[in-house]
Amino acid sequence: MKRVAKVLAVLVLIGLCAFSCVIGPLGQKQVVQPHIQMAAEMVPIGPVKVPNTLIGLLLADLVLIGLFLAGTRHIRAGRPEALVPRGLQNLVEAIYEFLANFLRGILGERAEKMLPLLITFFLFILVANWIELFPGFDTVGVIEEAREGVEGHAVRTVGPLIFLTNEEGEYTLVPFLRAANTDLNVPLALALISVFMTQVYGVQTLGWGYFSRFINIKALTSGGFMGLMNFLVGLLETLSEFTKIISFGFRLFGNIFAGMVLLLVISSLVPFVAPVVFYILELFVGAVQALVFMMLTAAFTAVATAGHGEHH
Amino acid sequence: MEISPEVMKLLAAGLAIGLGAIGPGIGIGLVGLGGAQATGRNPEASGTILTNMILAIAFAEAVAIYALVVALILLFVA
Repeated sequence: MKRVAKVLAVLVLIGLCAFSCVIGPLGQKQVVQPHIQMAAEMVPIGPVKVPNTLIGLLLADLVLIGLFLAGTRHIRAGRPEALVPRGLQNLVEAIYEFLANFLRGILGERAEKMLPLLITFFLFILVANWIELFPGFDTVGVIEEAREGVEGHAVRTVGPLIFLTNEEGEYTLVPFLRAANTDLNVPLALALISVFMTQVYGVQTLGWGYFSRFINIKALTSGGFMGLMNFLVGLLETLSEFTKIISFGFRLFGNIFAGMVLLLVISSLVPFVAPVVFYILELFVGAVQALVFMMLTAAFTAVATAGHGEHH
Repeated sequence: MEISPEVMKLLAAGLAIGLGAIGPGIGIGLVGLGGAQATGRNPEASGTILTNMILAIAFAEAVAIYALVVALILLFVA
């Protein structure tokens, strides 16, 4: 049974390769130069227009929620099978334990309260980045008339399918799917959540005295030149909270958007074999960005929850 | 000689990311050097060194990302 599945998988792969080799020359003589824009394209679905990054985001959510619901179904039902994990539950538990131990190493005891948020950050960003690498993303969509300022292409029909060609025309492709993090709104929202939750954990651990990090009146009234300096350092801290939002957001967006552009350009220059190398690179970049986002949040929370007085 | 805005835009984008990548490149190289040396001196601490190294690389890389975003805005938005 297993061997049949393996042979079937290999056959499907070969079939897909052959399909792309045959359909490619049928559709066009040369590969189309992709149109790249920063804002999400609006896909018409029924009467409404939906940004395609939203569809990518929901798909990533669906994959994650589905995986973890299926992986934890014995635990949630309270069945005895849960004690000896099998199959999917093993995977889910291994992922959780690896990340949790990693974070406990950085944060120590304080980790327990923050684990859900940090692990969600990691898993969501990882899945949202990697989902971009599936075929169909950025390439399959609706053919629309090109708006002003967008370079149009002529189309060619092959059976029920319509392809863009590299000749000039007045049509453009609006892809159905695009990775969520290639829309600046998503990384920025994640960055806002991250920085806001840092403040929440800080207040939870240190009480309202946490805000003396930013406006240090005690240092000002205790007087002296150093008191004034400490007060000014507090103002700088306030500013750095805002730069954190920007750097979190743009780091994730910049990496993933640049990855998308890289893949599109390479695929249009050398459609065969060459993109594979860059797909591997993007796997790496996607994982590293997810890790960096989680670890920076953990590090900033560690700083925020460390009492100001403890070090003196 | 007349230079069109289009050409200037492409040139500016290229210069922005090209010059902006020099500093972070050197910085990440130094971080890697430090990490490799630290691991060589104390192999047991490699886990901690790796996490700290990735954090430091992320900070250095952020600068390159700002340059990249400027280049992308020049290319696709401005």
